[in-house]
Amino acid sequence: MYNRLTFAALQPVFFINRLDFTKNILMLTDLQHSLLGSSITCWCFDSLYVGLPILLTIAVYKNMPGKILIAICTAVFTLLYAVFFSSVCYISPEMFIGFILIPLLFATNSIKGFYYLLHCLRYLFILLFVSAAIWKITKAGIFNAEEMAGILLLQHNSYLTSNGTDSFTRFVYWLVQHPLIAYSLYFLGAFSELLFGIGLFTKKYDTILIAALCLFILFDFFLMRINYFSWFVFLGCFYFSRFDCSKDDN
Amino acid sequence: MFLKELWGYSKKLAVGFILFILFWTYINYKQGATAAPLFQYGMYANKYFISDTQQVIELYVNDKNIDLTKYPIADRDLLQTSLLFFRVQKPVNESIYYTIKRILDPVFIGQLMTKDNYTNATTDQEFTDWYKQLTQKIVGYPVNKLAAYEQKYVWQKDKLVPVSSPIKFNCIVANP
Repeated sequence: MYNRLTFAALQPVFFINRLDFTKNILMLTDLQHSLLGSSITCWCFDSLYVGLPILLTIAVYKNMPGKILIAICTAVFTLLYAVFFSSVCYISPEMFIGFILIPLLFATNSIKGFYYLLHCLRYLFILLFVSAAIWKITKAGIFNAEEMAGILLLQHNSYLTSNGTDSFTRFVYWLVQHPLIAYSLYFLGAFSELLFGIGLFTKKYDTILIAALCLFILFDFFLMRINYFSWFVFLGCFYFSRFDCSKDDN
Repeated sequence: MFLKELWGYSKKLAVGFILFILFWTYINYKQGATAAPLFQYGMYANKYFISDTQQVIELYVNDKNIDLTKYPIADRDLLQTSLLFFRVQKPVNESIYYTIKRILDPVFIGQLMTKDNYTNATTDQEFTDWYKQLTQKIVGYPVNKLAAYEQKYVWQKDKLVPVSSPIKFNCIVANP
């Protein structure tokens, strides 16, 4: 919303499809055309996207009876919003994964339920992160010494060609001119993704994983200018993993 | 073990959790279509090289090449990706429609998919009008003339240099 990236602000006039089954099944509703043609539909979508989490927060705070239903509706609607929003804007639906899954934490009335849901989400996030490292191995990016240099040129080509003297441009050019130093950053990133695998076996190092996630997201933002701040919501799964209420509700 | 404890607490939740992981693993193993929220996180996993040709969008507002770096990242990305996406939306949407329909036909869902639903009726003029409004909002002054070009760059002598002539984005309709 800060960057005016909402349906209402964009008032999109076209959509682009993705090879995604859920998206294509949801497109049977023809919501994609409704969103292109109607400001009211755009406003409704944006209002629900913001309103449901607020309602959920109130429901959880006041322990309202409909809390579980609101939590599930929030998760489902966020999925719907992500699927359609990614078809009118460059924001990919993967960025919304935290906002889709985290509301499910509150789809329970017991502390024990919350504990198990929290750990389920913790494991899912670990698998997501580790899979990113596995992709880098299977697609062989990790074995390419020029990898980061090539990525930096691709990611920042517009910036580099528009602004030849900027400090960021000079920094990126320096990294490209020293590809092995740039590669070490890529390797560190992949290593930190793989490091999360330790969380599958023990919760002892979750504090380190919290630090690794923060560093990963911040580095990604400053070096790659990619915004993964929405993934910060998963930090809570690691922070609260220290509490064990699997035995009782107290 | 967590799965054992989870099974003891709630069999439904345990089955849901295991199924989610299994389907997600399958989606990643196949490396093809996804099924939100089962996504693939293989960004920047393919090989990239310094020698790769870079394609840069150059936007001309009122006959002046604007420096997109002066604007916030989100605005810059929006201006560039909107052009790129509109240029390819017709063939991409058509290709995906036929691919997904072919897979979902045996389970009846594909038979409900009509091409009109998966196609944009947006003309180049409509896109140009919208893009002009977007550009105006971002640059902060009236846009009377608009043109966009794709210029190829390669890495030579420690910097990016242009190669070949720029290609015009024909989806931006010239002003009458």
